[in-house]
Amino acid sequence: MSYVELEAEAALAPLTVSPRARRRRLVARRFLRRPLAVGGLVVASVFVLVAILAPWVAPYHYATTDFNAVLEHSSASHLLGTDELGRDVLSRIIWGARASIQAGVLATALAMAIAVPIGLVAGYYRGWIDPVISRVTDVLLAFPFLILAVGLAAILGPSLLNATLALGIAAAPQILRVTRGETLALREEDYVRAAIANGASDAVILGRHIIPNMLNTLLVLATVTIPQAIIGEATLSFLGLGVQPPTPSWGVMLSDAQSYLTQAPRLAVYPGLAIFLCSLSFNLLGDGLRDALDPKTQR
Amino acid sequence: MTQPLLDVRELSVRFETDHGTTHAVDRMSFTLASGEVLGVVGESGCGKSVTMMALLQLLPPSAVVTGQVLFEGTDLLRVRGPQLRRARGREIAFIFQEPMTSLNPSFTIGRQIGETLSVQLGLSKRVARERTLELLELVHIPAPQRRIDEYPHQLSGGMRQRVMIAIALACDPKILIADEPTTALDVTIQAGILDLMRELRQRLGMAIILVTHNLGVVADIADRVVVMYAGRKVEEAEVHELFASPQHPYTIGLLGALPRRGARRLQEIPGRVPSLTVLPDNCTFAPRCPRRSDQCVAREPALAKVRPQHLVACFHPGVVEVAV
Amino acid sequence: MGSFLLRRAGAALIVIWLASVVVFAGMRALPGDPALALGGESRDPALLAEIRHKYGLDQPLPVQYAKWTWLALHGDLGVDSRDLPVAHTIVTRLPITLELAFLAVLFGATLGIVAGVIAAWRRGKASDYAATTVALVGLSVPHFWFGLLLIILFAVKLHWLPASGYVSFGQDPVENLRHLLLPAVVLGTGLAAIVMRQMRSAMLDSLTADYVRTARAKGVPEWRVVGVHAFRNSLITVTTIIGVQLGILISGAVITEQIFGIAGFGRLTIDAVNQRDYALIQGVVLVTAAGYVVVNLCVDFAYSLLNPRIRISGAPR
Repeated sequence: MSYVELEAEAALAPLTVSPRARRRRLVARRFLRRPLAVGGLVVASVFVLVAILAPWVAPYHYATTDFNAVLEHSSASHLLGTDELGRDVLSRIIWGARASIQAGVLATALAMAIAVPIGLVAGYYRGWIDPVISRVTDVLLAFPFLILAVGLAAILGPSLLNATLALGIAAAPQILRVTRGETLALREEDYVRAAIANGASDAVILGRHIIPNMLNTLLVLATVTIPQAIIGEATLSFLGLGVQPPTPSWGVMLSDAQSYLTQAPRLAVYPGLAIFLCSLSFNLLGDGLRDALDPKTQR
Repeated sequence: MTQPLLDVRELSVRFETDHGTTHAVDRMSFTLASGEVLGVVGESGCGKSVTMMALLQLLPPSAVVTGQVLFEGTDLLRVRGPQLRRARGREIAFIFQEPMTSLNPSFTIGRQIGETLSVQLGLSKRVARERTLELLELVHIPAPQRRIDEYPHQLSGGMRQRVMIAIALACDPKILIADEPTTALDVTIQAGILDLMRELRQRLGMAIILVTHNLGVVADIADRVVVMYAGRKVEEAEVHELFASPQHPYTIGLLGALPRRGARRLQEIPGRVPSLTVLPDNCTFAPRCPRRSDQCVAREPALAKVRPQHLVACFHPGVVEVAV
Repeated sequence: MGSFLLRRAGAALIVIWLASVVVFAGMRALPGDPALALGGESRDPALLAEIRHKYGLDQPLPVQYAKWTWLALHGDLGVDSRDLPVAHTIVTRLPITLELAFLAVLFGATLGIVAGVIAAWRRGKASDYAATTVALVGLSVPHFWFGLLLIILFAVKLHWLPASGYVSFGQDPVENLRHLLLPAVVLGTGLAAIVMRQMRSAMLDSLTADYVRTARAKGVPEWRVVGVHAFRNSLITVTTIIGVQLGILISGAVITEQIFGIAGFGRLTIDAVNQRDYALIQGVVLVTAAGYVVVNLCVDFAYSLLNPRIRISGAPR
């Protein structure tokens, strides 16, 4: 690994460990003391809820067109106005949350499911398998996240499922590298060495000592990856590689809005605002978690 | 009596943090005469370093400092800006405990020594470099021409400490405060640093405050000794007097913990130095003291003169045979 | 330092080579017969055979790869679906994106570093909170939305700047900068946010370090303590972060060029992928990977310049 990457990893602030139950309460208290983090949690939860409950919350169906009410401003019947096909913007945004949250959460889950086991193996067993995995990861990391996602999505074909898949695979290398690094570091800890010296099996060491101590880092990593995936899905849809019409997605709405910038700029403002608030809330949540978990920060 | 060079009166330091208040130093008073070497001893955590850093306002913002620090008539706790910067480094110099981390890793040692010279004395680069070489020779760093352009990580611990001493001496300070200067070094290197300090004191005639938990070092070089416990001064005497007839049970305990020829076991003082969130109005050493009585738990003992030039804060002072 | 860089260069070359293999294999693994795509969907077997022969698709894979690598090393990346030489297309479009990226980094890094230093110095006060919040916002703002917002404000409403297009520097420097200003701001904002946070964090660490205490004890004025001692050491950390972010910058360029209608390298990437133009995709991805690796190498170099421990002894601390 280059020193560049070592420093970047150090900047991700590996978190330390101590007796668990006491810490969890302390962490919760520290988290709750930060209004921004709590705000992030609330807003993110709202988005998730809206995404799940979309069919019941949205005033209209997302594909319902009304050619008599095209490009209207906000009104009583259409709180955010209508788009070029007379569809209710608010409803499309609510339904669009589904694509974003689904892609964000599922892609992250997929990425972790792939990357964490491989990272554990590479960091724990080392031997010959570690250099191989590391080189492959390096190569994959040579491609920026979005480029990888775009490439994979192009190969797989445009659809929400494929986009999610592409995002998950593209996000895996980052997670793999952090997991491997954490495993390497934890392996050298005194209590792990003591366990090895006492003849504990690999499964026990991994399960009892290493994985639980990595959970904090993984949690923070997840809350950082989700907004990346959300923006990734929006980007892919914006470029036509993700969600296909008529399924709504914030990215598609933005892409369509480009043609109407002079007539109805608000068509570009609302979906983008949604993307922004959604990813911001997850970022705040992740920040708050990281601060609350890190013993070095005051306040 | 001539006026002392440094007169510290009722210096108190407390830290206000989110976790509460910690009292680190409680009404410390001591004086320093010109050319004198004062040893300040006590276990780790007793407030020695905090006291010294308070003198030059080097404590973090969470520290609240009260009292007076009179240096040549001026109260150092009340000065700001250029006056403070003049006191720091130029009148009173500081040597820290950890030479490894106390030097900036990104600049050569020449630049770091030179910085003092240019900031305090306004010397040009060329003159500063010459003076830096002189200083490196003064502290006996071999091959100064080569070393001056090297970085801290290229020097050994002992040499880094010598560089720190060179920085401290750059402006001919009247007082040198050395905070555990040899603690982080090997025993063999320690002797060299102490020799250097003794030599410098003789040549330059500056006063030194030597902070340490090592009584051997104090016996070696100090004129007078102040013993601190839990932020308070508990004993003060001339060095020979202190070693010959220690009065406070804590001092006796410290001396007992010194390895000595003939003694079979090292005497440990049971218990640990307390970290004070509330200032007790009794003797802070009482919980660990073998001479503890009701008096000790009820009131705080005041500093009293029990022998000539010898102050103790204890209700039961005196040399007593401690059971092994 | 020489041996350190040599080792890094060697590793970089290996990575580029591996990337080329991945690209090549990936392209061949795509579903669909390339000959069909190249032949305009005609089903005439004779025509298809001819196409296959022309593009060397009838050779075994390793041979195809060897030929491609050989040609690539000579600067010939083949021709795309419209019979235009890929290398030429890339060479004409790459400088545009490079200029855009350069301006974006200039804007982002400068803003981020300055804001980070100020935020660290005024820690806990109003300006710190303001700067940190703005940085967080800048991080979460999606590129394309931000770009559209800026276009709405500056081009549509205020008519100060053009909404799209590109004029080369050689032709008209002022117009060139006018056209690239908004895209550079959009692209650089994310970088500015991340750099600001890292700089602030690194400065806070530096300001509590022992050597800063020593500097103060020496009587060094506060502005020097912050601006020289703490700053210098923080710069090391931040350089590595900038290096890591450059990859994100490249992907951001793709979107930005799309929105602002700039015919640059990023746009080329998207077009190639959308049109499934294999030769073009291969060339583009290869150049991207190579560029990314070269940039990392440069950052390593800059890092070793800043960090005397690497420079002198060549060994990691």
